Formats: sequence, structure tokens, C-alpha cells
Amino acid sequence: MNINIDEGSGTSVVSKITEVFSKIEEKDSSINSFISLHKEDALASAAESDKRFKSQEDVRPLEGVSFSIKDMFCVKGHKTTAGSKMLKDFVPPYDATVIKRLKDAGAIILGKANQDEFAMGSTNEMSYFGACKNPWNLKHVAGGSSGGSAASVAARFAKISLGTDTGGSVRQPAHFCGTVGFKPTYGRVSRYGVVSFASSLDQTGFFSLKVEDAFKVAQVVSGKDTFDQTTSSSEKVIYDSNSVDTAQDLKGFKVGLVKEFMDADVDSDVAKAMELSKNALKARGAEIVEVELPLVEHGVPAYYLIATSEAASNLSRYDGVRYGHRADVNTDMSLEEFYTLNRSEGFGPEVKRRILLGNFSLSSGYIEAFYRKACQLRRLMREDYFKAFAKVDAILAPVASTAAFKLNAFEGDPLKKFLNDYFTVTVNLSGLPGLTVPVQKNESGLPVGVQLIANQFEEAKLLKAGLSLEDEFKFYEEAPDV
Amino acid sequence: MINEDVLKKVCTLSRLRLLEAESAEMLDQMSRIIAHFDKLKEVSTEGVEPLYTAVEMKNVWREDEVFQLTTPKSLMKLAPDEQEGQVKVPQVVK
Repeated sequence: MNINIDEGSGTSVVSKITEVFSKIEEKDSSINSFISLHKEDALASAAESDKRFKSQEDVRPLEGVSFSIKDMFCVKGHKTTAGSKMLKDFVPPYDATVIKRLKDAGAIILGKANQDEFAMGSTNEMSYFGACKNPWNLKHVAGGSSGGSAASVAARFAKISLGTDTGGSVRQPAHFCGTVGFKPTYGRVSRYGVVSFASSLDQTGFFSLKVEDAFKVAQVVSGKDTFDQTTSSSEKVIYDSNSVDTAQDLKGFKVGLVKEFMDADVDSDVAKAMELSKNALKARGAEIVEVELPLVEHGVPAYYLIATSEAASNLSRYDGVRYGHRADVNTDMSLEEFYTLNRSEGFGPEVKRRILLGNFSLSSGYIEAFYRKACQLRRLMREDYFKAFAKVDAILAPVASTAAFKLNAFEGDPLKKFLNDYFTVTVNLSGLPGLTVPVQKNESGLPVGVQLIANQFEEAKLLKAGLSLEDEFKFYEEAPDV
Repeated sequence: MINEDVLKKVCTLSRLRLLEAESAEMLDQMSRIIAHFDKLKEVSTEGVEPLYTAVEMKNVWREDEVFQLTTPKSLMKLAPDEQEGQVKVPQVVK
């Protein structure tokens, strides 16, 4: 199941990785996809890979494959900032489970990718380390929150990137940057060692140029972890070779178009990508069926209530006592004032807004009308998806209503930004797997993709339909001029 | 719904302090967001059990085993202020 390493022209992994770093050092200053680079460790791992390749002994499934890692994942001995001033000097003394599994599989970690602070945002402009720009047009955002991950793969710095997707943070930047973005079912990949945002929604996702690669990596790092009780032990595989072999034959495969999504107001380039994708699937024998998700218009408020409530609770741990940002304090200060000062200095505006919203909706007098109500709606929305998947194998949907936004498009209007998550958040609320496949560039040269959604643990169906679309559009052949 | 007093209370609960200028903008933004949240009231959810996690799972048990993940020393290295192996904070008992 090995992944083909094709970076650079060198013959050894060390020479390829050396070349990758030269490229990053030369070109990333304008894109800003990396927060930190792990050159020394990466070259040491590359030398290990070369040894194993040479002896042909113990060659591992991800041998020599280069990765960028969103700065949400703990990598032992390297800064893990979550894009925040709060954690700007935090060096974890352990690896996240998914990082350990990558290392054991022979992967090469190039460095940590830029992101919105604590993964809160959809433009990557909320990073303490500055916005990550879109490699296709530097006046546009890379998307978010995993913007650096998407940009580093689109710019051909990293072969694969790890991101996190709480409400669309893998699928949306993939759409903006023209890469594959794959979010497996909730619980597929361990969250141990991943900075928490909203624990019932957070899921590790994968960026790649080719659909198959994302699924192969997911297969390698997924599975039960005793350190995360929410990891699943489903026997259904993510990477199913049968899906690969039969991808061009969709006879008997039913694809749903969601009435509410099709009625939504989207740009003409997004509508075009949907039309082309529908036709491509149809041409390969798929049957197109209309399905309904009548509550989907309530997805954004339900999502933001749940996500901010969980975030307010998760982020209460940052007090500047044992780790994290500590303000200059005077000895007369009370402990309460001390916590308040550390947090007020350490968190940026979006994080503060979400903590406040979360604590508002959890506070007495509001919890019934807001948080509990959102959780009830969550059950009803999931039921609607289950009903749809009783009729279809996968759903085809837009990822967002537009291609990549211009920088600073939402200044001062966070609600407008939230509403852009319309097509992605209900997938997280329902724990479903989702996949972005790039389709084509629009008239301004920005990529546009589409989203495929399947029922829980039915990733193999996404792989099959995703490969069909990839075969039609072959977007991986296009590269931005960086 | 939300007003200056409620925002102040929520700031206290959140251990966050806003500057005066930030406070006005935050109140305006939060008001608009909460008004949008309020639309959920339009849907009847009577008798619906809230769903807290989307993938059904059972409680997981395992043996309680001791193992060394890391050392106290490496954890103490993360502390912003430390004295004799203890994390230092402002005086708690006056």
C-alpha cells in the first residue's frame, strides 16, 4: 500500500527532503504555510528511510513520505502553538498518537503548518503567526482553519498534511487551495495529543493531491487507541482496494443531491463544479437521486452553539500556571486576577469571542434555550442524514458557496463568516465522513472543488466516488505558480 | 438577551477582561450572533433526547496500569515560573 514519493529529482530520500527544504525556504515567506520547520529531525528520519530502502529490510508503509502537520498536533520536542500566543513557547514532552503512528510508519515530518488560533476560523487570518495566503493567488486566503496544511500541499512543499476538521476546517481549505481534503468518521483517528477545540466534533483529516493517498494514510494512522476512549473499533476499512478497482464503474451506486443545498445561493463557479461532477458520476453509471435535509438551515446556529460551548469548557485549562502564556504579574495580584490577565493576553479576539459565546450559552437561564436545544436539533439532523443514506450511497454537495475569499473580507462581521460554513458543519454534527475533490479553476484562476459525504464508517464509498471524480478532472496535474 | 451586564458576568465566568473599546464591539457582534442562534426556537424539539456525541459508543474499560509517559522534570520545564520543583504563582493565602 506504499505511497509513491515523487518530490524532487534526487535519488535518495535525504536528497529529496533537502530539495523540499530549499523550496520551502525560498518560497514560503510569501505564502506563510509553515509556523516552524523541523529540518534536522526530518533529515535524520530521511537517512533512516534511505537505510531501510537500501537494505530492503523493514521498509514501512509511509517510508520517506513528507508531511506537514497542523500546529494542533503534539510533536515531541517541537513547539506546538495551536496558532496562539497562549502556546507560542509550548514544547510537548510527548507525541500525539497519530504522530507516533506516522513516525513508526516511516513518515518524514517537515514542520508545523499555520492555522487559525485554536482552529477557530475559516480563513487562517486568525493565526498569531500571520495569515497563510493562497498559493494560487496571494491576495486570497488559503481557507481555514487548516490553511497552512492545504497551502503546503498545494504549493508542493509537503506530499501529505494532517489537519483537524471540527466544522469544515479540512474540507474548506482543500476546496480553496485545490487539494484533496478528507475527514473520516468521528472517532476514526485518535485525538490524544491533539489540542482540543470541540471534542465531540474534532476529527483529524488529511490533505493530498491524489485521493488515494489521503485514504492510505488514514488507514495507517486510524484505529483504536487506549488513550482516547472515543476511538472506534469499526471493522470497516477506510482504504478499500475493491473501491479502487471498481471506481470507474458506478452502476448501482446512488448519489444524492440535497434539495436544500441545491436551492442555496452559490456562485456560478460552484454551481458549474456541481453540474460537472454530477455529470461525471452519471456518465460512470451512478444514479442521481434527490434527498432532503429539512433542518439543514439550522445547522450553523446548532453547530456554533455546541462548538463554542465545548470550546469554552476545553479552553478553561489555559490559566498560565503550569504551562502557556504568563503575563508580567505583581505579587499583590489575586489568583483570579492572575488567571484573567494570563488569558486576556494569551488569547486572540476570535478565541475570546467563542469562549464568551460558549459560556453565555452554558450559563444558567440560557442553557435550556441554547445548548440543550442545539443538542436536540443535532439528533434530528443526524436522523435526516440517516434517512438520506437509506436511499443513497453518497451525497454530492458544494463545500462552500464561493471560491477562496479575498484577505480581510469579513473584518468586523464574524456572523457573516460563520454563515459560510453552511455546507460543512452538519457533517461534523452527525459524525459523518466527508471528502473534498478539486474540480477546476474558475475565471480568476482560483480552484473550486465539491464535497462527497457518506454514512458513518462508509469511507470506502467516498474513495470510490472520489476516484471517479478525480479520473474525470485530474486536478492534480495543475500546480500553482509559486 | 445579552447586554452590558450579562457580558460582564460572562467575562467574569470566562476569566477574560475586555478593554472598553473591545467590549462595545464584542457586545454588538455577540448580540447579532445570539439573535441568529435564537432562530432555533422556531423548530419544535419537544420530547427529543439531546445528542451529545454523534457516533454511538459504549463505555470503555481497561486495566489500570502504571507506566511512565514522561518525567516530572520534563513537565516542570513547561512551567513559566518555578522554584524548588514547584510551580510558582502569586500568593494565595494572605
